[in-house]
Amino acid sequence: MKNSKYMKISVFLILLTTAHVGFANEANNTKNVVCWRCHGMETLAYRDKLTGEIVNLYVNPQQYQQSNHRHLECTTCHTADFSIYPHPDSVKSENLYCLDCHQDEPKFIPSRFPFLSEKRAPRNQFSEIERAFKNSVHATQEQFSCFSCHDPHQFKISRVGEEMTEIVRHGNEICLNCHASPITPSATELSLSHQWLPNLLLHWRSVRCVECHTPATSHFSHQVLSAAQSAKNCVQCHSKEATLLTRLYKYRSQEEGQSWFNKAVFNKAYIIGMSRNETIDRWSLIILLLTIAGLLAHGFGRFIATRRKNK
Amino acid sequence: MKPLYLYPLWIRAWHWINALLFITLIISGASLHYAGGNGFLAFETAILIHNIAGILLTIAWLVFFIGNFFTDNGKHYRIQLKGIISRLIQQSLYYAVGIFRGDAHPFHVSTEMKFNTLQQLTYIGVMYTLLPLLIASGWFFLFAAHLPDKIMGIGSIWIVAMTHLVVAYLLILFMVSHIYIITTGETIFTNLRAMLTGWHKER
Repeated sequence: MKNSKYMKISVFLILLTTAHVGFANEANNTKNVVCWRCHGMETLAYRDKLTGEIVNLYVNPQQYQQSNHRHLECTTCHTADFSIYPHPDSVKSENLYCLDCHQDEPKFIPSRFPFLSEKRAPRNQFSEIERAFKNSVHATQEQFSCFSCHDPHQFKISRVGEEMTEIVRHGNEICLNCHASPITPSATELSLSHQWLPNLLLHWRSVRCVECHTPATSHFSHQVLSAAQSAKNCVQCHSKEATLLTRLYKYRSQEEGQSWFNKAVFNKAYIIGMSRNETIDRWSLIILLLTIAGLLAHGFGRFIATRRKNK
Repeated sequence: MKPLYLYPLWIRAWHWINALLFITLIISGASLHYAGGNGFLAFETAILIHNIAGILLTIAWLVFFIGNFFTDNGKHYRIQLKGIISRLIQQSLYYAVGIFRGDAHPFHVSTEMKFNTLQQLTYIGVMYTLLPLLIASGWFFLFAAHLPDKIMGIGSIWIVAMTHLVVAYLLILFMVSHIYIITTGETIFTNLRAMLTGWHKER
């Protein structure tokens, strides 16, 4: 009887806690929940009468809540007549641009870069991005915008802490969405144009496309290079001074803090030419040199002994 | 002493091909490991050479392994446990002391046993442990894309790479010692000549 009473109280407390958590989440996105009632449905889409293309209107609420924009209400960016339901046709002409928010408003410019201290972080990062993009091969494509690669509903500037394979997969997925689309012949072209890479599959699994297809700068550049301009120099990554350490592997150094070079080396990834274990190399070479010295001394001893004997 | 025909043509061919592949693999391997340094091969050249030489080394090892099954060369790799410790001590003492005093070599080559015990154990370690490890890790490298990401929480490529590297260093150590030890025959060139002609000749 007593146990039953305690059980009832426990169940009530659990329900109360669950309800509270649910309410709290909802409270953070009160207005967004209204939008997600429709836009949270995976099948929400329409066929554009002019282009005939399917326009996807689905926003994954879970991914949105993990994104950098999670604190924003939908209407912070979508300022057209979305408050009217059904939405009028006029909303289709809404033209969003990242720099609308990120250009001038200091509070929308990330103060903390995943890899750089605040002092080193470029203040005008978005202007730099725009400038780099204008020099990018993508700038030659009409209707190419930030959203072609970055979905603002799930965008995360830093993926520090995630598995490296996941970072690579996510990064490459952005490129492959267009460059290996099954409805274009580009998937085959992509394999053929990368045939020069030894162990192609391993490269594709281990590094992001942007490792080679952007200039080797101290921070990530949005200047996507043409095939002809892209890195084909193996030692750019496969050497001790690998640019990879300043790019993809920054995630690891950031994640694991101190002694980032050794952490990169001792972690699961191994890159020929870059991942050198200083201790193994040093001791192996010392033992080798001592052996050679010992053998030479032995040989010299034999030589002296033979000469004495012959005398 | 009557000349002994110890090294048939297939053994000599295998030995010198192996030696050539070892040198090729060391140069190309060092070029890959120390890539970006001066005086090494270009990375893309080194990787091609290393892969081809590695595949050829596998074939050479298989020839050795199968050859030892079908010829009587395999008998030289069968360990005689009786008196092994004393033979080892005797051989080591000869290299450490006796060789300088001009003592007689404690081991006499015969068609039944061409290796002294120290030599035999070293060759068994090299041919049946280190080389298989080197070859297996090399092949895992070639197909690294198909390996699981982690094995027991450690990156699988890391395990493969470290095995390959450490074994490679041990084999370089073996090669250096081997080149020196062959000069300890009756004359400096007795053993080298035997591996070139097949005939072991002593006075």
